[in-house]
Amino acid sequence: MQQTPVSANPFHDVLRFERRIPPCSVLIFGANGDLTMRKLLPALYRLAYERKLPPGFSIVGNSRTAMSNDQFREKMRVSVEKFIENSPFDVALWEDFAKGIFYVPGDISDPACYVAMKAQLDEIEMERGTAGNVLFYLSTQPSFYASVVEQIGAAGLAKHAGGGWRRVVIEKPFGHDLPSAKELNRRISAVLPERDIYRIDHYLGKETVQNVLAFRFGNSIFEPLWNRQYISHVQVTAAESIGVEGRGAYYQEAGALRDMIQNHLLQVMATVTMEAPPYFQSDAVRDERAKLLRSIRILKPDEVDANAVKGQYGPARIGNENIPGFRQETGVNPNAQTDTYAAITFFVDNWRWAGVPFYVRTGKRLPKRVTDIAIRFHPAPMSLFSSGPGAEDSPLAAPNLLILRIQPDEGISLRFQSKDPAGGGMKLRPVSMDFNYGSSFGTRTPSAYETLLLDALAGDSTLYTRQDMVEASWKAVEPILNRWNEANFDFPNYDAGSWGPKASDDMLARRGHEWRIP
Amino acid sequence: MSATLVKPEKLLKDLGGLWTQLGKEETEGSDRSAGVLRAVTMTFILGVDEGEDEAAAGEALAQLMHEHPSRAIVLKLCKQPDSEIDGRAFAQCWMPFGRRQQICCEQIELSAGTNTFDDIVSLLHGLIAPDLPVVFWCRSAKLFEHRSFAAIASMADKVIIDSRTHARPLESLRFVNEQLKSGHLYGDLTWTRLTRWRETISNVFERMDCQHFLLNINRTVIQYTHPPEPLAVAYLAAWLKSIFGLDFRVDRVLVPSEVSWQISEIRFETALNDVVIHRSEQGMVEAHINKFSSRSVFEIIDEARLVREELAILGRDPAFARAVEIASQN
Repeated sequence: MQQTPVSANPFHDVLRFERRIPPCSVLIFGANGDLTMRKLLPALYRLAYERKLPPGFSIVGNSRTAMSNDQFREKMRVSVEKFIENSPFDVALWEDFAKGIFYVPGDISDPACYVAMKAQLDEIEMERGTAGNVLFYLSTQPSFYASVVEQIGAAGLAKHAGGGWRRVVIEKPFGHDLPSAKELNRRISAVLPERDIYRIDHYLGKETVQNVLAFRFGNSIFEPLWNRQYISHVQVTAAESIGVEGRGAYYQEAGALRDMIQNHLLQVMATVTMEAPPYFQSDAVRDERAKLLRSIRILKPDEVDANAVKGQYGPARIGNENIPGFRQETGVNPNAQTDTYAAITFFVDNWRWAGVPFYVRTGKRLPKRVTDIAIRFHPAPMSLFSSGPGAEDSPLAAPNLLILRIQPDEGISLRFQSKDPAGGGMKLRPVSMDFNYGSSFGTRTPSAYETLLLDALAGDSTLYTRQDMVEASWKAVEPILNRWNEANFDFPNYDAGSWGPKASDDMLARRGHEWRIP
Repeated sequence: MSATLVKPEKLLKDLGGLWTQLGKEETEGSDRSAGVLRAVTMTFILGVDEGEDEAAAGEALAQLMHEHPSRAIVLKLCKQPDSEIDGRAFAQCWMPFGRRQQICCEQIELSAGTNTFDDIVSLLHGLIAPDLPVVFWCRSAKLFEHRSFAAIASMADKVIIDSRTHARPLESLRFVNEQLKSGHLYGDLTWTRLTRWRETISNVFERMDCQHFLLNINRTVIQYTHPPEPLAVAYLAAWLKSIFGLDFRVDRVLVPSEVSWQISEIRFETALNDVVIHRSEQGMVEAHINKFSSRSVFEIIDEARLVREELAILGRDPAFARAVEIASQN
C-alpha cells in the first residue's frame, strides 16, 4: 500500500492551523510523581483542548505503585483539574482524552517491566494507530536516567521495525559535574542518537526567553549596539522569594550554582549574547548557543574568589513572620555549606564581548521573585547637560538601560534621558519606555511545558539543550565548584529577605558597577 | 437646528486631554498606582448599524482591544438617512488580572445617516494613527453596500466582511474575488468559521492508517441542516476542489435538522470504507475511521475570536483566495 508522507497532507493550512504532530504516544517514567501531576498531564491535556494533539494520541504511565488503568486515569483527572492553569476543564473532552491513558506498573530496574511496556505500546499502536512513534519522558530521579535508557535499548524499545520514531526527554540535572555529565551522555548515546535525545531546560521554553531572539534578530536597530563598543556590562538576575519549600535534602546537595546558573541562566545568557544563526532551525540555533558557551572564559583557581560569591541565607523576620535560616530548614544539615545564593562574573572571550562583564546572580529568600536581564550601555561620551559638580554621579544621570523582563510582568523597558520640563533650564531626568507583553498580546501564554512537549512531539529540538552545550556550561562553572568544595564558608552571610551577601556588592564595586534593584 | 462641526483636530485634541486626565486621576488616586499605559498597535475601523446590534459590536470590540490594543474608530450608520454627522472620543480601559497598571485604548465614534455618510470618509483621513496597520471590519451589511464603502476600504490594509449577513452573499463573494485578484487583502468571517472544520479534517488525515484515503477518495458529501444552502457549504466544497481538482465530486446534501449549526457532517467515501466527521453536539465533533472513533472539541467561537484569527493574517492567504475564486464561479 502506498502511503502519503506526513508532510504531504494537502488539507494543511499553515496560516491558520496549529503545527501538525504525527500520531504518537508518550511513555512517562515516574508517572506517579509531582512533575507528572503538576506539569506534564495538565500541559498535555491543555494541548488536547487546543486540538494540537493528533487523533489516537496516547499516554502510558509507569511507576512502582500498583494501579489499574482506571485508577491511574482517575488520579490524573484529579491532578489535571487541580493544576490546569487559565483553562476550563471539559468533562466530555477528558473522557475521550482518558481513553488514551494507560498504566504499566513496575520497577524500572526490572527488565520484565519493559517487556510489559512494549506489549502495551504495541497494543496501542494497533488499536489507536500511533504508528510506532513514542516519546519516552524520564521524570524519575536523575540517578536512574542512564539505566532506564539502557533498559529501553535492551528491551528493543529504542527502535521501531515500522520506522516510527523513538525519542527520550530528560529533565535536568544532566550530571552533577563535568565527568558525570560526560558519563551520562556516553551511556545514553550508546542507545539513542543525539537527534533523539531531548534535554529539557524549561527556561528556554518560556515565551519571554524566546522573545529575546525575536527582539534581537527580528529588528535591525538593536543588533548594531549589541557589543562591547556600546554595552558596559550585563546583569542577569533570577531571584526567588521562597526558601527550599520542603526540598531541603535535595537542595543541600545541589545548591544555587548547580540548580540555576549551570543550566538555566547560562542558557539565558547564551540567548542574549549568541551570534545570529544563518536560519531558524534547530541545529543552526543550537550551534550558535554552543559556540557562545564555549567562549565563556574558564576561571583560573586563583581568580575564583574575586569573581564568584557564595551565599547562604540566615534567619530573619520579614513583616510579622519569622523566617528560618537555610540551616534551620527541615532535612538540612545544620552545618551545611550549600550555596542558596550565587553571583558570578563571567566573561565571553570573543570579538563581540571581550572585556564586558556578565554578572549572573540567583538566590533563594531574596526580597522578591523576579527574573530579568539588564543591559547597561556606556554613558554618553561627555556630559553636555551637566548641571553643577557631582551631576554625573547622580542616580538621575544614569546611562541607558535595556531590561528584558522574563518574569513576572514580562516585557522590555528602555531607559533613556529626557529633558525635565520642571524648573526651567536643561535638566535631564531618566524616563522609561515600556513594552508590556500582556498589554500588547492579550492571548494566553502557553506554559513552558506545553511549548517544549509540543516541540519534542514535532521533532523540533531548538529549545532543548545539546550535549556540547551541557559540557560547555559545566566547564564554565567547574573551577568555581572545585574552589567552593575546598573552602569552608562562614555561613549564613545574608539575611532572608535581603538582596544577598555584601561580598556580592563588593564584586561589582571592584569594577565600578553596582547591582540594580530589579 | 444647525449641525455641530466635527473636525479631526478637535477629536484628537479631546483624546489628548483624555490621556492627560486619566494620567492625573491615576497619579492622584492611589499611592500604589502604577499609572496608565496607552497602547496602540493599529487603527481598527469598525462599521456598524445604529440599533440593537450596537451592543454586540461594542462587546466584540472591547474583547479585541485586549489582544490588539488599537485606535478604534467606530463608524455608525444611523437609522435616519438624514442624521447629521456626529463624533466623540473616549478611552476604553481595563486592568489586566494581577497588575497594577491600567491599559487604555482610544476610541473615536463617528455617526451619520446614509445621506451624510460620505462626509465621514474625509474625516477618517485625519484620524488614522500614523505608521500602523489599518484594518476595517465592515460588520454592517448596509455599509458594505453604501457608496462610501470603497473609499473607506481603500484606506485599509485589510478589510474584513461577513458575507453570511449579506442579502446576496454570492455577489459579495464575487466582489471579494475581484478585490483579491487586484491585490487587496480581504477576509470573510464565513470562511473563518470553517477553520474548525478544515482543521479537524486535516487532523484526521494526519493518521498514517488513513492517508491512503487521499489517493482513493471517490467523492465527498457535505451535509447541511437548513435551506437555502449556506455560502459556507460552497466555500467548503470549493476548498476541497482546490485540493483535489475542479472535477472532484463534492455532493451537497440537505438533511433537515433542528440543530442551530449549518454543517452537520462531512463524509469522504472510497470503494472500501468511509471517513466520517460528524458534529454531534454544539461544542464537539466525532471522527469515525473504520472501527476507530475520536472526539474533539469544536470550540464555540464568537465574532471577536473570528476577527482575531483574521487579524493574525495581515498578508496574502492563498487557500482563501483559491476557495473564493472557485466558489465565486457557482
